Amino acid sequence: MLVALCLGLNAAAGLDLDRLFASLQALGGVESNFRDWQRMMAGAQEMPDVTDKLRRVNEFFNRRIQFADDMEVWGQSDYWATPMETLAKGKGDCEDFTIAKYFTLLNVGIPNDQLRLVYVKARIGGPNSAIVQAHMVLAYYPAPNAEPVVLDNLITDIRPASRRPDLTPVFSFNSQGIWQGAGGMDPQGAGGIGRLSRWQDLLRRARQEGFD
Amino acid sequence: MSMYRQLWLAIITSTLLALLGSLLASTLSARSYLSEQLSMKNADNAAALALSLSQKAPDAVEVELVVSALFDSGHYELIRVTDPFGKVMVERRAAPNNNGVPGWFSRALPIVAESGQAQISSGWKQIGTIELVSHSRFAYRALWSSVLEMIGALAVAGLIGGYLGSLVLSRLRKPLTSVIDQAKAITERRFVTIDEPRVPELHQLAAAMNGAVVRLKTMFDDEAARLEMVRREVNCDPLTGLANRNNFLAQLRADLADDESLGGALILIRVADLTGVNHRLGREATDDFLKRVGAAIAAVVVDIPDSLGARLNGADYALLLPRSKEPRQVAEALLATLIREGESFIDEGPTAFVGFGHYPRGLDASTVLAQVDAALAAAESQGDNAIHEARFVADEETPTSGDEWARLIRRALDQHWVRLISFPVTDLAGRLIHRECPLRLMLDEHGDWLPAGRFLPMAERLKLTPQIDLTAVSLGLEQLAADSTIPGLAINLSASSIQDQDFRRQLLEQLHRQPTAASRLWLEVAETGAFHHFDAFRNIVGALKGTGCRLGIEHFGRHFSQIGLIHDLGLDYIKVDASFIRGLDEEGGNRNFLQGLSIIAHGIGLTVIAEGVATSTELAALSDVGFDGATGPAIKDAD
Repeated sequence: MLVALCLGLNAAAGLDLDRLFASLQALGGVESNFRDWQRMMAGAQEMPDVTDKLRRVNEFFNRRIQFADDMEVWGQSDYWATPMETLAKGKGDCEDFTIAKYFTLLNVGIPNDQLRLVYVKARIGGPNSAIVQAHMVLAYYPAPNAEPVVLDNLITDIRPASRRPDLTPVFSFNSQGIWQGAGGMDPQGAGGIGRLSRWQDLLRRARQEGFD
Repeated sequence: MSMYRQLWLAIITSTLLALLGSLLASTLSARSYLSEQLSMKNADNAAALALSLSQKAPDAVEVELVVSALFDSGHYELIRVTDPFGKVMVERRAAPNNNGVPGWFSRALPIVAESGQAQISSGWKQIGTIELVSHSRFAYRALWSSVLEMIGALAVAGLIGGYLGSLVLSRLRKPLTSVIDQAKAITERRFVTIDEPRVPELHQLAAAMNGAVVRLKTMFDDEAARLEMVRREVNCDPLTGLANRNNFLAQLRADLADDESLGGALILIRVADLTGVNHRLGREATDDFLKRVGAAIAAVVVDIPDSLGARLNGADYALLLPRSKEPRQVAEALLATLIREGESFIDEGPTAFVGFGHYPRGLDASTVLAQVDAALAAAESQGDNAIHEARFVADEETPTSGDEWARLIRRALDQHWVRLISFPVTDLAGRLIHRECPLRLMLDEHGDWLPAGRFLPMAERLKLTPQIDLTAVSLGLEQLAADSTIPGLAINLSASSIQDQDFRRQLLEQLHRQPTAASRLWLEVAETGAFHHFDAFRNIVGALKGTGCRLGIEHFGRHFSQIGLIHDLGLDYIKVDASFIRGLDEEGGNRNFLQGLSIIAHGIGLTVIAEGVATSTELAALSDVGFDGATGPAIKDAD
């Protein structure tokens, strides 16, 4: 039954589960985490209601992944981890949560143009707090001109943007129209242009892991 | 295709391929670099524009203004903003204009850049999507000019490569040509050596060929030396090294029989008291005395061309001076020398007696010998160191002074009182090889036709032979042109002609005018002339090489030991002097010598012809010694 499920998922979302699993194992990840993620996605995919899908994915990552600094997890100040890296480590910061949710939602049938990764200023510690920090959340737009809902790891339930006065959006993007290097060639190789941007780099690594 | 041309082609092709390959590689890599740069710029500018618009909650007018400002101040082909539903809000597109490079170039090497895209939002609200395409004409221009520069640089490199290639080739070509020339020369049986080139492969080839040539030469030289010994043994007196009696008689007979001869002088010398010397001083001193007499005679022979010294028997010596008319002076000088040499051997009384005489052509040898011998007897009877002259009847009127001769010869040439007579020269099966054509000349309208022997010696002295020889050649060419059935005509060139530059030039002109007739012309120079003026001979042989006529030496034999000199000339034939042929059919003749001679001559590609073959038995003996052809009284025309 699991096999049939996997095959169905694979066909629907264009995922290469074998490769994803191999990537996770190479990163030292635990198999049960991967199987849970897989099962969660299969469940989410079957759900007719978008809100249920969003909640399922949001909860999965907010529960499974422990918040930690990049410096602690990766030994560098700002590292954007791929979903498999985050899943393997079981730890991540706000970008890692957002990225993992973004890729997972794409694969349970949420269209790309309804999803945005959003740089936000987050005020921490109550409405009158003066502490502000850079943060990233995932926004879902039910319609192009509608108010989005916010998937966040600080406040774990999904709320409409208007109910998140602590967040001030600055800039949003997704993988649409992102130029991913000429013909997907190795950016360090001959004729390449050297470094890709952080986002391009992440998209490339995710592709290598098995997100097609 | 010649090797040289193939090498050239290989160099040019490989240079072109290398240059085109590097041009292609660098152009393609420049293109991919440019298109990536352009794509990156598109992405970055789109993101920057979106970021700046997202900060100020823009309305539609503001979006349009900012987009216009960016478009007007920068280098863009397209900036478009669409709202979240995909409707175009603002679009700025540059009019297509000339991008400054040829159209075919941008079609052949399109620079494809991805457009840049980014989202504009205001707060949580989506405003739209920016699509931005930078202008690519700068990239095209950069690519075009880099291609032009590459082509320029590669053309220069190609030219330098071609120049170096041609240097290398010409370095190769020179030694190659000389090796080829040597090979050609060897097929023409001219055994030349060349400087060995420094290119290792050619060096080995040339060294091998030089080695072969040198070995061949050595072989010839050894064989020639051996045969020279044989010749000496058969023809020379062992004590004095002069000719022996048989040899002397053969030469005297040959000279008397020679159509071109005009008679000559014979001097007989008898040592007076040989028995007395032997008795007083012993055998060794006697031999010594005889050797000294021989040396004195040899010294005279050296100075006079064609002369021959001989020891006939015990005390008798002979000196044969063909063509000489004034033997008295020679005889007196010789006698004086002998008296001086004899001082230590002769106490008192005479040292030697001398009889001499000038004989005309056509007498037989025994008559001449008997008459001069009588003169010697007369001298002997005088008792003292005496000289006596034998008188032969001169049967022809001849001009006396040199001026008179010159006038008469010139007149004969002017009046065309000239004709060629001819004798057949056949191979041993009797087939005609060519006809030998001496020139006859008439000194006055009613006069007889004079044989060459009568006027040539005088003409040599007066330096008239060039005209005579040219006349003979032109008569010969006329006959050859008129009658195509004649296989060939042989014309004699005299020694003084071949030294004459003008003669050589005029002869070449004549031969070049009638190339077909010239290809059947045989030109020959007497051995004496050829070897005494060897450089001139070598030059004229070289100059005549391309004319098609055949070249040879006549009266060959006495300079046999110098046969090594002619091996690299590329001569066609030799005619062996009659004195070697005389008595060939008899026991102990020159058989061994002639056999060896013809082997050597064949080895360097010469046809060997016997002169003065007098009897059918001599003719029969020629095939045994390997001769190819014969001429002489015994050779008659077939018809």
